[in-house]
Amino acid sequence: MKKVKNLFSQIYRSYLFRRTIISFLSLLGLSLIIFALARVIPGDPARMALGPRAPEDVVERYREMLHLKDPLIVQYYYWLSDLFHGRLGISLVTFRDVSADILEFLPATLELMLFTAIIQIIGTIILGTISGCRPGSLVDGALRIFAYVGITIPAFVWAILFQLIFSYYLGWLPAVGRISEDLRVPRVTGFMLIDTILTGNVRAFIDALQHLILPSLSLALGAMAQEARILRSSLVENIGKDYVVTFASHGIPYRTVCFKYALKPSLLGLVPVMGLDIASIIANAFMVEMIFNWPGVSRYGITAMLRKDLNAIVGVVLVVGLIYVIVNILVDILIFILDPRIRRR
Amino acid sequence: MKAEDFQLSEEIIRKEREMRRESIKRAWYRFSRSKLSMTGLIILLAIIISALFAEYIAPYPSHAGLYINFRDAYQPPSLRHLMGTDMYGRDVFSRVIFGYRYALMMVGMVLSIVVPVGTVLGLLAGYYRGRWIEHLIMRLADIFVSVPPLVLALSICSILEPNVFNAMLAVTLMWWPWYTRMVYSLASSLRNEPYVWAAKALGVRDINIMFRELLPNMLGPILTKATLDASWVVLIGAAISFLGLGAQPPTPDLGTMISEYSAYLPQYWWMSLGPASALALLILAFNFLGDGIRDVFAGE
Repeated sequence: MKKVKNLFSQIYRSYLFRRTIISFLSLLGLSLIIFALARVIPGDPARMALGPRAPEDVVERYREMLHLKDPLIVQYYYWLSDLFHGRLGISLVTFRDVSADILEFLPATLELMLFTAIIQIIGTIILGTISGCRPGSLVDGALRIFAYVGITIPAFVWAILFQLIFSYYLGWLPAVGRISEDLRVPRVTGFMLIDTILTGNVRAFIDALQHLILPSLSLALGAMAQEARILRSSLVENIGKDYVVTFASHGIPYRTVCFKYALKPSLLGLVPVMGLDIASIIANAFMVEMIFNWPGVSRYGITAMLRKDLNAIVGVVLVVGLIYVIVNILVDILIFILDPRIRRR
Repeated sequence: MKAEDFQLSEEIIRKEREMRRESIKRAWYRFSRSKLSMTGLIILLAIIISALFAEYIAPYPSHAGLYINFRDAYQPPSLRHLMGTDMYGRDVFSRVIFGYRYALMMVGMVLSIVVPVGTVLGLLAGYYRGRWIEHLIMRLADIFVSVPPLVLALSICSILEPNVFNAMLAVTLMWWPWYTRMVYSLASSLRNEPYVWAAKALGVRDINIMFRELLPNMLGPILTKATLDASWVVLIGAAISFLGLGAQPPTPDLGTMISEYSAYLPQYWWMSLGPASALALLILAFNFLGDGIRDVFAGE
């Protein structure tokens, strides 16, 4: 307990606290920029929403409703006070509540992100450790090629490729969606994997898992290839260090030295890279969700962008920014806990 | 200041410049000896030349834009059509060569604005640490990095009109903070080097210290980042047009082509294979080159 308390006071005194505040203030700044951009573009949002045939008095009333006649800063004030009440306005196309829509689609994206992160971390550690402990081996050579392939092929091309191979030609995994049409899973948390367990539906659980594999794999591959290369090079560097040689001279088997003692410090340097990659999953999700017809926030965002639904766009950008910032802060905290050198600074 | 001090200061600065010149020579030597980076350079040069002279190199230049010839539609790859033809009978290979033009234009425009602007802002913020200008620049940069670049670029494209030019504009707007942040951290550590103090003691103007003392010492990291970033710009540009928020058909943009042609998978696989592998080749070339440049500067 005391240890935890100590850690908290350290966090409070450190740069972490300052950075967290700056991050949230930046989000506020972001909201101002994107809001201003959405309002100053040529064209009348009210007219755009209601269409050219709507009578003028209806459009006029709609303008009043959206406060479009007030100065920009007053509009922003209304919008901001709505934001702090958890309202992001009404979609200009579907007339639905944007925050309700986003809340409905958010769990699907978070589930995809989490699953991708797990695949990414496990894959990176396995590939990086094997090739780092045996430099020059067959696996190492394969990883080298895989790393370049991973960088050069964008996530959306992976997605199309996987869909083609595993769903169309082999027929092993479903091509689109989150769950098969015939399965009905009542919504509890919105996370399909959790909901299926809670309702005790094993068949639906396996089905949901199958739907998750291809999208998350195509999201994970690029970052995984790069991270495994980074892990490999830092492992190779650490294995050459004196303390590892000492362990080896004490008769500790190479495998133990490698997987236990050299891996730990090598992973530390990887955490920031991994953190940024995991936070960036949500950006690539914009393409992958579209291809796999995954009912998440990113697909909602793209649909809004294609229809020029300004309120929904602003909402999605803010929510994505929020997730991005939160993941980055969590990673900072994790580094803070893992690395005693930073704590002493 | 005494005459000896003056001489000493000048000596420090002169030595530092000499070392820099010497290291550039060595860098080029190391770069030209690395197979990977030379491969990257050659591929990239070939792509640039074919994009520049697309009208003469592409077998069917008229197929780049709107062109319809249903008789030749859906042809698999052959000697006449290296990457096959699409649903309108256009030669995919010709379109890919024209597609490189848009990809390279994007890289050229984005980097030629972002690198200088980002560098200057980073220099200002790093050199004037603790003043209001640092806070202004860095907090503004914080705002732009609080959301993934692709997402903000996509939304800017959609709020403005989706087309090639706006896509470039959006990516440019997104990219400068990453340079500013890097140059900022380099500048704030370099400003305490002896040669900077020496220049200050000589009464060299701030602007000359920034551009003639600090900047040349950061060229390595900036150049490395620019080359590696070039591949990211290509990727993001392709992603934007893939999602329909950048170039619109019939513009022969690689991302637009992939999205257009992927509707004809799996039967007419060659249509999407052409632009997708062309995209991969360009990204690979930039990565080889960037890795080579990084190794050159890391060796110092």
